[in-house]
Amino acid sequence: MVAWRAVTTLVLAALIGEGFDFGSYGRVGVASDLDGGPGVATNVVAHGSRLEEAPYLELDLYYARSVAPGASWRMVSSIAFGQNLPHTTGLFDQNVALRNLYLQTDGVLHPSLSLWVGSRMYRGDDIYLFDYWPLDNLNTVGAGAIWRSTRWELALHVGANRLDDAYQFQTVEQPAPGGGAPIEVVNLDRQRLIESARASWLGAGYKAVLYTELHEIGQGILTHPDRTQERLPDDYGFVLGGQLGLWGPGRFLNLWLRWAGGLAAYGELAVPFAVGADKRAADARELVGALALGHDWRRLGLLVGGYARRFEAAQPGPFSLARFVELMVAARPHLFLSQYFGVAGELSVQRRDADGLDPVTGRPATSDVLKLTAMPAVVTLAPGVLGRPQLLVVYTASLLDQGARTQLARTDARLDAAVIHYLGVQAEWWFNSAYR
Amino acid sequence: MRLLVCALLVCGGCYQVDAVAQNPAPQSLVDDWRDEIIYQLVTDRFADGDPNNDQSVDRSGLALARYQGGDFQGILEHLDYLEALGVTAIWISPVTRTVEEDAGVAGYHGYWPQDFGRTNPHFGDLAGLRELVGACHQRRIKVILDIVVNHIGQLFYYDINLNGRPDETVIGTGSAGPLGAPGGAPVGHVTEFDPDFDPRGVQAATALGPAGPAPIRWLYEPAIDRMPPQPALFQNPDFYHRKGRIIDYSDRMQVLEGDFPGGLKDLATERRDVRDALVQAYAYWMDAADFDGFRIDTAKHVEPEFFEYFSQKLREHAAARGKRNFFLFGEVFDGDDAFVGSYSQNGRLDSLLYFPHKFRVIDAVFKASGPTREIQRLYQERALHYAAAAAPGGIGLAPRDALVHFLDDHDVPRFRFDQPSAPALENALAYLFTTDGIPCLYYGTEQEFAGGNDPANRERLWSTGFASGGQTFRTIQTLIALRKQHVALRRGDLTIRWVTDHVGTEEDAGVYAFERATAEERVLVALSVSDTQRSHTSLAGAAMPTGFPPGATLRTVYPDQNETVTVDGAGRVVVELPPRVTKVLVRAP
Repeated sequence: MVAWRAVTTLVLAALIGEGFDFGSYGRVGVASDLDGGPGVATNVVAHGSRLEEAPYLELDLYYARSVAPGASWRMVSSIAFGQNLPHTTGLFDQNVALRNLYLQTDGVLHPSLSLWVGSRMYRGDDIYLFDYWPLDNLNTVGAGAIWRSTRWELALHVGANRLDDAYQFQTVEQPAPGGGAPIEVVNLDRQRLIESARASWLGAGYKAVLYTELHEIGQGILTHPDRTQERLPDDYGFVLGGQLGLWGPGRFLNLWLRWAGGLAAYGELAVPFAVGADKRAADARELVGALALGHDWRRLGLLVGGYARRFEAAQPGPFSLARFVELMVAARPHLFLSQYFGVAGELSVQRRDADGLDPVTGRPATSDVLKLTAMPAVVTLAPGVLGRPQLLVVYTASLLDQGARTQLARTDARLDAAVIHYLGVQAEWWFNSAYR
Repeated sequence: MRLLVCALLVCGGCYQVDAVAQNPAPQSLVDDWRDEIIYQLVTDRFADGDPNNDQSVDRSGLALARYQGGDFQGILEHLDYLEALGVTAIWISPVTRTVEEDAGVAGYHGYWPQDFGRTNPHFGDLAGLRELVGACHQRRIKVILDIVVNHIGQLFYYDINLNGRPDETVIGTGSAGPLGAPGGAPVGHVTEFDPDFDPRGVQAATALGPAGPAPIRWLYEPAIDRMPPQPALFQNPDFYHRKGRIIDYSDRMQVLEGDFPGGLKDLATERRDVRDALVQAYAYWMDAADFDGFRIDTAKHVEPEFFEYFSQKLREHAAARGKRNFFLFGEVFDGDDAFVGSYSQNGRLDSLLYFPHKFRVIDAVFKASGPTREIQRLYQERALHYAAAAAPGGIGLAPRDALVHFLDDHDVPRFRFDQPSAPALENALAYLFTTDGIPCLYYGTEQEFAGGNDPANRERLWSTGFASGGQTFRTIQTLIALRKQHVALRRGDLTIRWVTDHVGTEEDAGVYAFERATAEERVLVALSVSDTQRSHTSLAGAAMPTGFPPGATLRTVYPDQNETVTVDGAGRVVVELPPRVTKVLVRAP
């Protein structure tokens, strides 16, 4: 989001004042499928339209202090709440996550050097329309250093995760040495190490970014319920990519290219869902080309997003539904009828072609979804097509081809609907956001 | 959009799925099924090529009642192994989706169908299956699919007490029996999943007495694919006999209309709509992957007349597609030769697994060193019991001449389980690959597996590393090559030249000899099933007659080429046979 503002981390530092500060990103709303059920997302690609996303909130709390001229430190914490609202479910309950918790120093050891340690959403720029970071998007616990000059920024990072999944972590019961109730002992505990480097060349109205990641995980032994053991091999992954960003008054353009292999192709928080005969993800590949464009004229705004992604899981054999190409293109024009009120629309097309046969139809697993969205009432409280906060009414008609329908469960009420409706109201805001 | 897709495809190499997106063009690769050497494999046990479909597999290799991990990809990756062995056709276990597990046993074998139209995800998908069959066909390896027409998996229960849920109950006090008082109540187990056979149909009952036919209720357990059957027309209760489990195999009605033990619900195959549904289900598979034949499971439990309809419809379907010599052979697991043979009459099946031969020759003669005269008796019966003319539209061979011979299969202990002698196995293999009919080798025989009854006889083949240097592997290689080399061993008429009742120290104890002859070639096979006696084809000075001309010199081509014998002036010959030795002789040039 706000792709032409968040050019470097320096920007965030500039946004945060001395002492306590507060920021937030959030979206909330309710929708109907016009058939008595809730409006739900209907996508066949990994990153569909943002308009159908569930409620989400980040509360960013900062504390910053200067320790000398040009030298400061800041603590950043972001508490995130996801999906379930008590007023929807009737349950006084919520999914909560701490998505940022780090301390950063700026200019303390050297005027050009920032250092950070902690848990961090460590990201570049996104395609707002899809809520998708095509190149660099790490969620990591680790440390990093950022070196800035007038024209350069070099960011290095090393982090680790240990997912609470049997791929990385397992406890088993063993008899207690002294008898009595059995005790839980750790049987598998392997970290994934992730290193990243990002070099940015910054100019007036443009930037060029080169980016890389390395992923490594050690071997381990998984014990199954029948007490048999499975050796999990060590594994690796990489990302190489680049970004070109252009911006000017009221406009921006970002282009990305990402090539990932092995573990990294699946993402840093994902367990490889298909592996090779040696149970490694080494043969997995992901190739992404993406763009995001925004332009504001006097009364008209336009957002465009698109990506093409080829993903190949490391599965043996010539055919696999986990090898696919997906395409997503969307355009959102926005007409401002007054300073705060306008109308908007969105047209999106998504397609997925897999290198396998659909298990239901026996035909090639291709699927298309066309979405036509009208936003007949949009209240925007800041200028521009990415001005926020925003209140809006959304209606989306999704047209699915037969291939897309077969991806729905046989009992899904949408299976036979000619058009899938989504009518809702939404609010979205961000300010002082710490998303990077 | 399409252009972008194409651009990405070019970037990463083209996707191949279009190559398997349609039903493959039918290929007719078989001229004469007697030329084929079938290799029966259990897909779950042959090779694990894709770890991604190894859900809930047993990783120890010891719990053979559970999935082990074999799949289509595994077979595909080991076609070189099969080619090296020399087999020309593979018979794979059923590919359709099955009940995942029942009573702690997994459906890895494929005989518990739940969805007749989809592949078992443990093995792979339709694309992988088409790729496998296509790759086999490229090597001219034919693929036979094991199919089930007798039953579905345990997908419904009989609601005997009308309470709408499946019950299993222990009744009785146990006061009867060895430790109890006479006249007391025995302990009994009543299960609504698999109740005993009732000729009226399973009956409902309440505490007050009989309550009419028990309704059936479909189970709904998605986690183990215990779901109502697919296609949906199989959810018609009238498709099933609903008479409960077979408890008396001597009662033909029970065998035909009772549920196969394990709660496998018996299809009412005498109904026209059931027959049509099954024809449609398996015509689909014939088309979907271009199989070359079907092996039909539990045919014994289906009335023979069913196959007059089923086989004919499939033959018509194959002919309409341009597929020639589609092979239909059935499993009638019985030693009664006349009974088994009845399934070959009236164009019912092209062939049968030759179970009487398995019991009376392989077990009684080759395993147990019994009198070889039993072979002659069986062959005399065979001439009477099996159809002497080819089924119309069938494979062009009389069932009598195209029976599928085997030493063992997945339903019986392996040959070596109760006859561990390596020479005995070699002896039986030499017979298998030189006698008439179509030889069928059960996977793992080449690796000298010795498992006992199911599932111990369904070992993981990959535990051997697919070694091809073992003695038995090389013996089979040699025998298959010999059969391929000599047309008489494949297609020749069989004339028995020597049998004996002797099994002791008599000079011809254990001897069996026969000739296979075509217009071009004549081959003599002489063997001894005796474990101890050095025998020969002569008794009290009377040597074995042959079809070779007087004075002809015969040269051994198996086990080696070092020996010659001369046919005497009366066309007779004496072949010396050490214990468990088989000699194959042809006329020396």
